[in-house]
Amino acid sequence: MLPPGSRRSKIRPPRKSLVSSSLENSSEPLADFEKSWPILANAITQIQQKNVSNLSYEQLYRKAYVLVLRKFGAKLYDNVAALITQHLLQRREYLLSIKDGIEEFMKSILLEWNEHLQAMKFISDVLMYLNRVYVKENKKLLIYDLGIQLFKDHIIKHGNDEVGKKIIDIIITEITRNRNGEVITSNMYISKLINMLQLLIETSNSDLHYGESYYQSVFEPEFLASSETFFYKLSQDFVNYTNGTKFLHEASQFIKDEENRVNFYLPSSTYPKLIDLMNNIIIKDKIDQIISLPFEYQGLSFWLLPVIDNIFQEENEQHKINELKLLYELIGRIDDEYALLRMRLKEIIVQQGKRIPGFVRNSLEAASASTKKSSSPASFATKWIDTVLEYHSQIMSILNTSFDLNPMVEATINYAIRDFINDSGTGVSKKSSSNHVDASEMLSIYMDYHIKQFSKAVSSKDSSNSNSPDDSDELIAKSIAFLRSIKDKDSFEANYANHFAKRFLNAKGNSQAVTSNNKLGVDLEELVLSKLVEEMGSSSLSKVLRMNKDIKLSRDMTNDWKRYIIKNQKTDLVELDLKICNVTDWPKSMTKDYKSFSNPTGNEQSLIWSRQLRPTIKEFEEFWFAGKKNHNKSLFWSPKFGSMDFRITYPSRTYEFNMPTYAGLIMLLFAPQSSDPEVLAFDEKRELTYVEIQELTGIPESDLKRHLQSIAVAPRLRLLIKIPMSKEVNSSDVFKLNEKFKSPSVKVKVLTVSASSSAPKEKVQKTEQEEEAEEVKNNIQEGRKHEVNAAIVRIMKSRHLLKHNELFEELVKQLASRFQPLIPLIKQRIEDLIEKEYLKRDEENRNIYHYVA
Amino acid sequence: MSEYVTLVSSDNYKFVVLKEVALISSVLRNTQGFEEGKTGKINLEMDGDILECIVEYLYYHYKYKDQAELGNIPEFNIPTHLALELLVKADFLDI
Repeated sequence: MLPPGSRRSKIRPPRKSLVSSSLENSSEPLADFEKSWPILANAITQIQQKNVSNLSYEQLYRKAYVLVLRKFGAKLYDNVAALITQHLLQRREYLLSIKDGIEEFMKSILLEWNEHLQAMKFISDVLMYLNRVYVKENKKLLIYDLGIQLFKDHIIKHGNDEVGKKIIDIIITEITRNRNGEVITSNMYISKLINMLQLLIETSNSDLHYGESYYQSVFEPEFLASSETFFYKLSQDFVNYTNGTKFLHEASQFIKDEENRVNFYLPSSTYPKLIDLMNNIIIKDKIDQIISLPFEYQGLSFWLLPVIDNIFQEENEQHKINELKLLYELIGRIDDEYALLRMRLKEIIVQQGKRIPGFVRNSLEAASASTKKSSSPASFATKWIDTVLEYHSQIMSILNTSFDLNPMVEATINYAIRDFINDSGTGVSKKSSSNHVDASEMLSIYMDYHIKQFSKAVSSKDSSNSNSPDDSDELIAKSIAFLRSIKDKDSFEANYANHFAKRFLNAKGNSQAVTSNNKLGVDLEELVLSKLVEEMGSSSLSKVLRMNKDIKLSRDMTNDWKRYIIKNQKTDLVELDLKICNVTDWPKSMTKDYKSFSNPTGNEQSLIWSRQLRPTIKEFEEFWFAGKKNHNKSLFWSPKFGSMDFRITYPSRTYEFNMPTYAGLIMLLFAPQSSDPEVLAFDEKRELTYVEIQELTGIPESDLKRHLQSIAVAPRLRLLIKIPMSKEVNSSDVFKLNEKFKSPSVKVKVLTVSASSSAPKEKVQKTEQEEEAEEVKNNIQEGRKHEVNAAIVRIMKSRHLLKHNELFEELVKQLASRFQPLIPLIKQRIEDLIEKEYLKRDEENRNIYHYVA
Repeated sequence: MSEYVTLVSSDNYKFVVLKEVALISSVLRNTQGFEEGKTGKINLEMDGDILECIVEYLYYHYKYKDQAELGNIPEFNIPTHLALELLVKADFLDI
């Protein structure tokens, strides 16, 4: 005996020599076995009949001990196995005779199993010495394990798995009933039986190799197969609803229940298999079919409908948060990248997005019908952009509530929105598709509109503009957000430059604008511009930046000029508000004919400034050319732009007018001719014919007609009376001052007639606008050519040698932030550069380009 | 249930042993499910002096079982003339 703790390395007693000496009456070994076995066999039977407490363990143990010592281990082992087998076969007959329904059967099996285990425990105790010595040495199954093995072989598997199949059938039937929504009472039995099946391990007694359990080898495959059939049928039922919403709810509910069920009954090793099976059959095979269900069957387009409805309808429809969430969760079960969801989501967003222009148009038409106001391109642009932004925020709220803020889904949404924003309908002629919207132009119009609104608001209510900074911040934030979605940034720049220029040139006196904007703390234009630069980089906005510089210089010049006038006491001159623009930086559509007013080409008559203005112009020109900064610059006057302020005293009242330069020039013709201040213009009753006016002013015909219309035909602003009274302006018409002019306010602003007010003019106007748009487009095209050229040279300079495809890819990558280059453009540019000898083709491989240094 | 079991030797010496101590032997432990568990008496096929030595050992084991790792355990002395017989009985009792 050794100290405790080191019992493992026990010394074995020398068996042989001691056996004879320590044990009594050991003459005939076989007879000894014949004597002891019946006692043990009887004890085993007693144990199986639960009569344990009447047996003396010590005696039984000693009998087995002696038998083992006497080398009867194998015989004992086999006899025990045979005895147990015999017992089990009897029990099997009993079990099969039970006819009281499945629950009774399950109960009996379990009872049998538990009793058997209990008996085996005692038998194993009695035969402990057999276990310790014989079993170990011969690598047999322990008695207890042998008992389990025998139970499996002789109860469960005997007779072609008769009992086993019965058990499996029952369990599957019960689970199927439960799946169908029935309440079953056999839950406990099922999980215990499954437990039992798991303990029945397939072993071969020869090499002690533990294989799969009966559960794994027989039950699981059968259960999975039956589940598969069930899931197929069920999913088909779900699909047959042809109602996406119902599918989502039912499928989600079933999946949830099934998960609980599996968790409850089945071992964790089966869980992933079954769940996989279920996900594949119920979700993966069906979900696309469900998502793509048409609207009336409630697919994804139905669930997303409230997004767009909310924007255009009064009542706030609830988002289908639940459905979308369920959908997200279902798809998450089969694909953690949500590829399908993202794809379909994108399709629908693009689809919805393309409908937005139509909705906007309809709602504007409805609005204009009710308010009797005509809708302008600006109102469409602002409404469209607001709508798109609103749409975006609605989708984002869904992302938050239903899609778990999944960044992949968010990216997809952004891509989709970008897609429809930039969808320029390539292939389709742009003007033919009514729903086409040029995003970059729209954004520019949008910003133009809002910036104008701000200046108006600021100048109209000087004191109460406390909310303006917030509003302007919001405008900027919105605009920038939208800008990020625009692919052709260069197009936006061109449009923005155009609007920027117009805002400046059409503003009524920039000095006034400056002072009023100062109340905001910052000049809004400056603010917007700086944000744009931040977003797009200063190089891409260089034109606008230079224009902005011109504006500042113009202000300085105006101030210098004012000081000059005061210093030289030339108070009789007309006040000037200067806008001096550098021709190269301003949009061509505005500057193209800047010289024609001073140097008429062909038969065109040059503009004749009114005599009232001439001294001022002359004085300023002298002032200008005297300035050191201006010595090699030339100065041209552009009467197309700008405005005039003057006062007309009518018999009834004195009005202050603001009108375009051309209109002003016309009005000055009717001013009193004599220097006598007592003589009123109305007394002179001057009448001028159209031709006379044209000769006296030299205004180009189309502009003249338009401005005459503004001041003589427009209903509320008839400064002149046209004879005969008609809408058209003809060369035979005669004009005279309208003595009876009346206006509710003292300040009157004369607007140039807009395109829609008269039919023939519309045409003229439209072509003008088209010309301008054409101009902008050409500018963009031209700009792109340069950018592609520059990019090609940049790339080739660093690479020297590139294949066509590589060059192409690199180009698209580099230019992506500006616009999306089209293949023909790139090809054309490459040819151009080859012609200019920047590049040359490889002589052997036409697909390779070399950079020519 | 009593806290003690009585071990009876073949020459009828009785040893009243703390159950917890006796059950160190898995054989003695197994008896508890059977008749011996009911009577609290376990008859053993061995002489009183051997059984005494075994009981001593069981108490010795019981006392020091938690200190096995610490070392410091006094040796358990076995009377030389009983050594061989004890070895056999220990195997029987699975100690």
